[in-house]
Amino acid sequence: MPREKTPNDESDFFDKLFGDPAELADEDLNLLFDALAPGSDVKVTIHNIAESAAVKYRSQNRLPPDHVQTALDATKEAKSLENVTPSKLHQIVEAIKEPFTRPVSDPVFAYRNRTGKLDSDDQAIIDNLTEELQSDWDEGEEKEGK
Amino acid sequence: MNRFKNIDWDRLYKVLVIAAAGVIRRYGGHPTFDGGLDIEDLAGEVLNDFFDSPDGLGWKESKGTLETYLRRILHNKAVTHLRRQKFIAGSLDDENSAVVSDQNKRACAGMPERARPDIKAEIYALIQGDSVLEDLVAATELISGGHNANQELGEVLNKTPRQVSKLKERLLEKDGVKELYAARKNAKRRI
Repeated sequence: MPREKTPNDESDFFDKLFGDPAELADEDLNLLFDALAPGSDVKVTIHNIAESAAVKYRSQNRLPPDHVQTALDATKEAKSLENVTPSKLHQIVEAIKEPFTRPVSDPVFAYRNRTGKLDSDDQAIIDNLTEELQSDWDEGEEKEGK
Repeated sequence: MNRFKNIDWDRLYKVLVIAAAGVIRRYGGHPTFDGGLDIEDLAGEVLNDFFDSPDGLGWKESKGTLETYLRRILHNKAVTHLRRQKFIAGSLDDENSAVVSDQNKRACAGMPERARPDIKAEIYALIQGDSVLEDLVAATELISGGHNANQELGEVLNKTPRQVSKLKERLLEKDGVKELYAARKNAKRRI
């Protein structure tokens, strides 16, 4: 007798609209996750679960196995960019690259979205900001040189 | 070689939570998952079992991705919780039970009937008057819903995948849609 099809074998409207969660781009994944668990600190949650398991292993005089240790290392609080996973670095870079979707008064923020030519006023602002950035850059290099 | 080195734990957890919501939604949003155990608890339970198991529940790369492997476990756990619910809420055979509705009985028993056949109609009601979102919902009928959902929807709607993604964000911001997606409103209605 063939196995009856359960509801879970079929996708619903939302599954079709959003696609398979495992295949989603980070942005879409975050969007859906925030809809389901707003304000949830994923890293802390995973770290707590892994830490709780690690305590059990240690209490039996055993070292936490690879998967527990790897999860603990990957989710410990990062205080610098050293040892940060490539995926986290990618996430940071993507967040910086993200265009501003709200109205902005400063053309530097809207620059990426511009399609036409900059007028002279906007160009002057951009030039000033470029000079400012260059000066900060030089200052930083001087400090490093000392 | 540590086979867990390249696991993106953040992503894994998020996928599990979203998958948990999908399972619960398809079963009709059982009250247990609103008042008691929620979808994050369920994802946490799976990770807990995984970490408690010295061999990571036997996962190997040859068995597919860890995400897929743990999603199967999550699915089974969700079904077990739903079935166990009948012992908490009362007998499924009790016709006079006010606690266990017919739909819950089906969900608890794992019956094949789809719990929410008209989810789209509910969305249409929530986005009434917003023609752009109505087009998005209508376009969903025309796609296969695979991993290229944004691409497929973009082709139907003549938009870029990023624009489609933004439309979905807008859809989720509509009152009630998020709750419908998370099966929250759904669950409360049945308590």
